[in-house]
Amino acid sequence: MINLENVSKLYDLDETKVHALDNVSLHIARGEYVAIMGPSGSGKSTLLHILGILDIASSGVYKLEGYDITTLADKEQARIRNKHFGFIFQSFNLFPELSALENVMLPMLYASVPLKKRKDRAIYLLNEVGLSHRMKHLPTMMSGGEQQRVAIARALSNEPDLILADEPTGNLPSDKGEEVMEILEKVNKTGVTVVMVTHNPNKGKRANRIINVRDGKIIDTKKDKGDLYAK
Amino acid sequence: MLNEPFKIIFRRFVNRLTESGLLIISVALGVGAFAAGGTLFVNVVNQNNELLNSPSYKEIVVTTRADKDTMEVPVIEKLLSETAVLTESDLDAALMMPSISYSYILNQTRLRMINEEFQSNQQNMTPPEKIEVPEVEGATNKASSAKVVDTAEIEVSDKNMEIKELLEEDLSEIRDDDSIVISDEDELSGYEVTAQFFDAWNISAEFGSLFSTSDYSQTNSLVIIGSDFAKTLVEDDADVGSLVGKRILAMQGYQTIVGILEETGTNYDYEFFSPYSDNTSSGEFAQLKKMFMNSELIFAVSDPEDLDSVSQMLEQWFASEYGDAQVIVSNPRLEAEQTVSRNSGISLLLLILAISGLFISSVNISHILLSRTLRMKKHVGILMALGATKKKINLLFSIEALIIIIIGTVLGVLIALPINSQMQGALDLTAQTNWMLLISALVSAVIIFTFTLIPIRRFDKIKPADAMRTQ
Repeated sequence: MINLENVSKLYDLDETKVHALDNVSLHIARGEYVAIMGPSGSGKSTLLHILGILDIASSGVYKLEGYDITTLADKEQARIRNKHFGFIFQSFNLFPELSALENVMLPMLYASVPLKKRKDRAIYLLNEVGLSHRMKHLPTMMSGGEQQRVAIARALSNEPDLILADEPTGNLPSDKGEEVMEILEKVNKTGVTVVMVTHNPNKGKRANRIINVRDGKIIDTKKDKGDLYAK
Repeated sequence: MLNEPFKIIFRRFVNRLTESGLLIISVALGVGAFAAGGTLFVNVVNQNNELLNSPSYKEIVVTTRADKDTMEVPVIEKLLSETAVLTESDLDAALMMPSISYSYILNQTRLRMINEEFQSNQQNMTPPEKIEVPEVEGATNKASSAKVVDTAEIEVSDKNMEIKELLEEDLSEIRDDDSIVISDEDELSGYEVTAQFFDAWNISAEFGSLFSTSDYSQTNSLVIIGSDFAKTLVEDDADVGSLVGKRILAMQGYQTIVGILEETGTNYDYEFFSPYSDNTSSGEFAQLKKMFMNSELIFAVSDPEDLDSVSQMLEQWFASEYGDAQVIVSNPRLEAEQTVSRNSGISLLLLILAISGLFISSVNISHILLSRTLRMKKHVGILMALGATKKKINLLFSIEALIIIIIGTVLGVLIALPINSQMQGALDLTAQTNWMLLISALVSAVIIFTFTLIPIRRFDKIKPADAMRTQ
C-alpha cells in the first residue's frame, strides 16, 4: 500500500541543516498495524506527517498504491487526506467552537456528503465510540478520553483506508489510553491500516510491526507475534 | 444554514466581540470618511465646472449707479441729477470689441395678475381714484428736460382707464372664455429682453415662437413664458402648448402668449419675457419707466479669458459716453472664481483626509486580521488535514472578511449621509448626490477588501504539518 523510497526531510534551522529524515525506505502493506517508535527528536513524527501528506519530503519518492503522490496538486493531496486518511493527534485537535457532532460531521462536508447523511453517520460513529450522550457538547466540556474518542470518530467519518495516529494516548491517563488502544485494534480488525507513533514500548508491542527510528533513520523493523500469526 | 467551517468562523466572531466590533467600526469609519470626502470632492468639481461653464459667468453686466430696487424712488431726484440712462443704443459698445459674442438688455419687470383674490383685496381697500403716474413732457429729450408735474393734476390717461376697466371685469365670465387665462399667482417677475438674449442663453421655444423682429416695435403686449410657469396655467396633464395665442389677464392689460420656452433648469423657467424696445409708441409711460427702472446691459464674451480686458474697455467706453463712474461694470465671474477656489481647497483637503482615513483603517483592519490569521494557524492546519484545499480555506476567510466589510460599509454609509448633507449645505452645493456616495462607499469597500487579502494570502504558505505543531 505504502512505499517510501530514499525519503529525506531537511529543515533549515538558523543556517544549519537538520536531517529530520535521512534516506528512509519503508513498505507498509494494507491491513497492517504498525507502530513507529523512537525517542523524541528522532524523526518519528516527521515520518508520520510525510505518510499523511501533511508535509512533503525534500527528496525521495512516496508511492501510495503505486502512484507517486509527491507531485500531486494541492487539490488532489487534500482529496486523498480527506477520503483515504484519518488522523488522530496527541492533543486531539478538535475545533473548540464545534460540538462533538459537528466536529465529526466536518470532514464529510469536504467529501460532499449531503447534510442528512453527514449527521446520520456522525451520530452512528459517536454511538460506536460510546459518546451518544455527549453529541451536543463542546470539546471544552469533555474529558481527554472523551475528546480523543470524538477525534477517532472524526478520523473514521469518511471510511478511511489508513489511520495515522500521533501519540494517541500521550495526553491520557492509562485507563483512558487503554480504551483508545482497544478502539484502534478494533478498527484495524475491520481491515483499516493503522500507523501509530508512540514512545511507549508497551503500546508499541501491541502492533504487528515496530519500526524503530533514531536520528532520522530506521534502525530496525521488528515483526512480532502479530506478524507471525498473520503469516 | 451554516456549514461546519462557517460555524467555526461565526462562533469565533461572536466569542471575540470586542475584536470583531473594532473591525466593523474600522471599516465603517474608513468607508464613512472616504464616502463623505470623495462625494464632496466629486460634487465640488462638478459644481465648479458647471458654474464656470454657465453662460452667466461669461458675462459682464453694466448697470446704472442706482440700486435695482429703487423703483419707488421719486423719479424727480434722478432726473435732476445727471444720471446715465442706459438704452438699446448703448449695446453698440459691443461692436468695438470683437471678443464680445452677444450683448443684450435684461430689464427687470413685473406683471401684476388679476384674479379673484386680487379683486377681493381691491374691494376691501379704498379703490384708487387715480393711479399715480407722473407724466413727462417731451420724453425724447430724456432726463434733463423733464418737468415736475403735480400728481393731482394728472389726467387719467387711456392706459389708466383701461386698467380700471380690467379691475372691474367679471372674472367668472372671463374664465368661460377659452382664449383668456387667469393666473392664481399674485405677481410674476420677468424681464424685458432684446432678441439677443435668447441667442446668448441658447434658449428656444418649445411651443409657439420667440419674438420676431416686428414684435420689438409693436405696441401690443406680448409675452413668452417659462416652462414651469406655463404648467401652473393649465389643468393637470393638459397640453401646455395650447396656451400659445391665449391672453393672460394682468393689471398691465391683456398679455398675449407668443411662445413657451423649453425647460432650462434655471430660474428663467418661472419667469416671463417681453420684448424690449426703446421706441414704443405708447410713449411717455414706457419712456419714463425706462428712466427709473435700471436697464441692465449685458455683454457676453465667448472666451472667459477675455473678461478682464473687455470689462476695462467697456468701462472706458461708458465713461466717455456718460462721464466717470456713472455706470457699474461688474464681472460676476470673479466672485464665482473665488467661491470655486475656496470650495476646491476645502474639498481637496477633505479628500486627502478621507484618503488618509481610509488608508489608516485599511492598514488597521489588515493588521487585526493578520493577528487573527496567526491565531487561526492551527485551525487551518486541522482543516487541511481533514481535507480542505487551500482554495476552500482562502474562500472561507475571504467570505468572513467580506461579511465584516459589508456590515461596516452599511454603517459607514449611515455615518456619511448626514456628514455629507451637512458639508453640501456648508459649501452651497446642490445635493442630488446619493448615488455618488454609494459609489465611493463601494470603492472604499473594495480597497479595504484588497487589504484584507494580504493576511488571507498568508494561509497559502501554511503546510498542515507546520500548523499542527503550533500549540
